[in-house]
Amino acid sequence: MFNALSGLRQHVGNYPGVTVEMSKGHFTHAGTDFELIDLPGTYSLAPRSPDEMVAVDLLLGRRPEEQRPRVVLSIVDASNLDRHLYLTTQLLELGVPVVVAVNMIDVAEAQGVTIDCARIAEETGLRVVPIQANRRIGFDALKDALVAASKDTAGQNGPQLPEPVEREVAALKAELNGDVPTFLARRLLLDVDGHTETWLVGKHGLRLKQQLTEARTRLAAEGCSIPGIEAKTRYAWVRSITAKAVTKPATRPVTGTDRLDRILTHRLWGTLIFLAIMFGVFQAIFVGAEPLMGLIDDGVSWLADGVKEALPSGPVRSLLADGVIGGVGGVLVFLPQIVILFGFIAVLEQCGYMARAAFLMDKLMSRCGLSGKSFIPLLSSVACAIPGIMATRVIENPRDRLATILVAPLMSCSARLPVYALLIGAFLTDGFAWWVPGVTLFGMYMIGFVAAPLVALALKRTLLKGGTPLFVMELPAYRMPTLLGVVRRMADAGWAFVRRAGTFILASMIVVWALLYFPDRDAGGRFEERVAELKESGDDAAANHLQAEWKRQSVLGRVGQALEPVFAPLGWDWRIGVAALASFPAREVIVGTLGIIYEVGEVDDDEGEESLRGAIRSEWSGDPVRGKYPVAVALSVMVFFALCCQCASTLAVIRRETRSWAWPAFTFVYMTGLAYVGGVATFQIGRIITDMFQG
Amino acid sequence: MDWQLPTVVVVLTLSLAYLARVSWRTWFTSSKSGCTSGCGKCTTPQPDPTSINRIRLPQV
Repeated sequence: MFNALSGLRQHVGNYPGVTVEMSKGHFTHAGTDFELIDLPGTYSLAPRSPDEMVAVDLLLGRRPEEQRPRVVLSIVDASNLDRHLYLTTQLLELGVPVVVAVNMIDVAEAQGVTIDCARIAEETGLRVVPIQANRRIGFDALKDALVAASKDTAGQNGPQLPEPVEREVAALKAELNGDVPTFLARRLLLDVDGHTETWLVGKHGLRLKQQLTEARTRLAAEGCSIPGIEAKTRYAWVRSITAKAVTKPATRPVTGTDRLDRILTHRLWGTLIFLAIMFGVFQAIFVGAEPLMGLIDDGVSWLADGVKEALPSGPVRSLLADGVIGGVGGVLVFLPQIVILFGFIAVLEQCGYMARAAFLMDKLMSRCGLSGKSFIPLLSSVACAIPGIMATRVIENPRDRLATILVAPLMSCSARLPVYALLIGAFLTDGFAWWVPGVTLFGMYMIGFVAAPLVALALKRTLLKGGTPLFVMELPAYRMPTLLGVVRRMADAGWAFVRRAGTFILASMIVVWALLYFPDRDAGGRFEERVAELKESGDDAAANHLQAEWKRQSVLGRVGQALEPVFAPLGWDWRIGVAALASFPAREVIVGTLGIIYEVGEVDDDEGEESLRGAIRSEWSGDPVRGKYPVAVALSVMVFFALCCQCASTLAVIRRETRSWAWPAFTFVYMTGLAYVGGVATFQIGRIITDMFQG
Repeated sequence: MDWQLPTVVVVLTLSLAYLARVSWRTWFTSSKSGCTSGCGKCTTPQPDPTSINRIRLPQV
């Protein structure tokens, strides 16, 4: 809806938490300029968290950086009119003109529901416009209504709470010296233990709490029990309107959504289907991306060769060919996989399936002390942990929110995909069944899906003890995803990946290259010149040996060799170890670092494949440990990356969201420890299994 | 070769300066994007007030 009105790209999903931020847009209609602010999705203006309070403050004009809105556009779902008009009745109390957009008219019609919007307008005095946002139907009439409403000087009247309630509200407002508007004084009385009460009691003291208790006791004695009286009053008003304007069939027809949900939300079949869908997505990522990855690989190699031919031997040529092109190019090869992953995420979100996934996971999450509401940020973290962590703002309970924040980085984000794809492509494709790559990738993602609830369980039983929250969510109707929406999401993700590769990754690769290049000489002279001379003389073995010696003597090589005892239990040598170390600021750096270390383009494997995969396979085959247990080592690297927090940006967001340095430090320490133990266990078990089969 | 080493030193210095700047902005200041990904889908708490698309939310 927001996109359609303003033309601004905005991530939209049909489960709670995804519009946790507010965004602005602009449009002009009939000579009137509109600034549009999209508030977080909510069912009521009873704020239960600071996030919801921001929306209320903005509507009341209490945000210092924003002027009060002139018009409020209330978007209601035609198939659930009664429930959605509840919020509209609260909006009417703000004193600002309200326009009601009745959306998804087509869904209501499919259910046999007829809505007379003109009758609703007549009964309420509101401007009511039927629309179908996904097809832009009714938008001209909606914009006309917004223009007309912007000229109104006051809002419309809604349901009136009983006189005893309004009397108590006035008394409370007087008690607060008029510090808060009538709307908030009403919320103070009606929202038991809500955010408004917590905030104002904190500000005015426990005397206010006592007054509230006394007021609620008096109202209960007069037959106006809090909070029930609000729901009774509002729904009575809503039903009096809808009784005149809405006709429904005597028996609600079974819709396609109902039929699908019988299977997709089934405890057993639904879970199996969810796992099958995830496997299908990961298999498709591998299969679909191969041709494009090959093209990019060829392009990178062609560019590197061109630079080597054009420039004289020296550090600049090596910087460009190995550091920039080899390093950044090695990361860009995985662009097709990133784009395909986000395409699938967009389809699953837009069709409404993600909400069902949250419902299925609620039972598992509740056994770990969380609710399905925590699963939504965790699912967001599959794309990137940062918006996933910010999406936890909708979780009211601070302990549950903190637990979710601390485990969100365990979900395999898109930055881990190049690492998985590289190693699976190198060691688990040729000679393996067609389904092995997909299953392995699926397994890597499942590590996060399993580890996150388990760690959350440990936290909820130790540091963050507390009860299991309830989870109430509306399952939206299934809808066909729009091609434009999916393509936009893929393009956004692809551009973000390219931009990151061209900025942060590029700078990181230049530094890594320098640490692997210098010192570039020893007593015998410059390594680069001696390697070139050996290759010209046809002694490739000696050239490769000298090349390896050069890397070992570099700054990073020496650090890696000093730390080799730490890497050994994981099955890693110093090269894998330094590549992993270099990737702590950003995960993708390991791919570029391995590209520099293994000198992509210099090393050919048996099939003549000059890719990084081929280079790794060829290098490892000559090593006593990596050559004997390549799959075990590859899995140990992947498991380490699946569990380790190698993203400085994620830790920085944890610091901001928790306002503490302790929690990001805790996250880094526990995840690094878990990753190390996981990596060691994977390699050692893999080694034992390999010996059993080969023995 | 004479021009190559100074060129590499300059490029390396610029890269280190860029990484230092990004790290500083990620950890200690606000920026238009919340991290180095550049996707722009999230923000850090105190964005530029003139930024067209974001309104900050309070911290818990």
